[in-house]
Amino acid sequence: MERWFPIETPRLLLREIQAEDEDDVHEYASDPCVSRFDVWGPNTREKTREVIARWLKVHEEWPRDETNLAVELRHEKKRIGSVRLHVKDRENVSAYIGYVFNRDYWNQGYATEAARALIDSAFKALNLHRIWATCDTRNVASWRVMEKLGMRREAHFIKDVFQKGAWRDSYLYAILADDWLRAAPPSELA
Amino acid sequence: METTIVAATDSDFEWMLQGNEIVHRGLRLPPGGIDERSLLEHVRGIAAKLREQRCDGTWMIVSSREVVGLCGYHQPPSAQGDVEIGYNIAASRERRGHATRAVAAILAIAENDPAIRKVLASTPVQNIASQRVLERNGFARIGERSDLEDGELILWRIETNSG
Repeated sequence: MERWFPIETPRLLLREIQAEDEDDVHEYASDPCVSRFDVWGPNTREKTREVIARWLKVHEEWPRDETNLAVELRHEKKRIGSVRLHVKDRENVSAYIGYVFNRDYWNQGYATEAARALIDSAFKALNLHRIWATCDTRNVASWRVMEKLGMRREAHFIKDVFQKGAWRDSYLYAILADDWLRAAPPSELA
Repeated sequence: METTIVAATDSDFEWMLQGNEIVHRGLRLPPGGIDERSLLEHVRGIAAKLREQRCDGTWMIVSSREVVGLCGYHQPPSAQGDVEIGYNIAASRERRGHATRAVAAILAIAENDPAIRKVLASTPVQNIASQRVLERNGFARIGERSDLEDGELILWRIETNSG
């Protein structure tokens, strides 16, 4: 199977993570604001190193179920976040996505731009049927991105995740390949 | 005994103030509550300000799924990286080491926060238990100050690794 990345968008480059990304990754992984609604973080330097080492190890395999891509600002060569696609269920050709961005680059549409490119490439290259994502219900910025992408809120889970010492609610959003490809035909994105 | 700190959201404060639900996010309140309403309101206000600038900075002190106290920063860190902490334990849960472990947990967070270089605290001269909490966590006495409201205070400081 051919590699379906790196992916270029007007402002961003989505490429495989490298060991040299450590400083940029740690900049946001150590920020308590960034991981406030996540199970992980804020990271120590050692933890960030450990996570990157794990990704690099996963990336030795091909084909692979889990793909972590660094999101780089093309004109600055700055790594401002990362996106992930994880094929969790091969039988049902389903994957989940996740994204995280440096706080200095929030509210500029980068997450939407990156996630849109990720979903599009994944549907086309991997023949997925469904892509889903979950987030803390209080993480408005995160689920707004999913809504902008045309994902559908399919579930509100009550106190389903034990996060940073207490239970939280989650939303689950999903989109089907049929809906995605109908809304954004290949010719339009090429 | 295990003690953890859990970032306090505004809905957590609403629960601590009203106590309508017995269990909230899997947590309970101690007999007699955490503290006076006025203190909870005050800390809630601080938490809201911290959240705007820092996302975090006010925590519930939790042990065996019970909120045994509150702790956190008084203000966001200064430009020089100074941040002052405070802590408070429910009367029914004092003298069990909760404050000491909570302060250790805050220090662990502060260590990894590039915006923080020094953690400060002040304790009333007569509050020996509170002074022991800071001593056990490696704080050094750096002076004294008298305050119209709080009386005679001992000032404490510890530098973080990033400092």
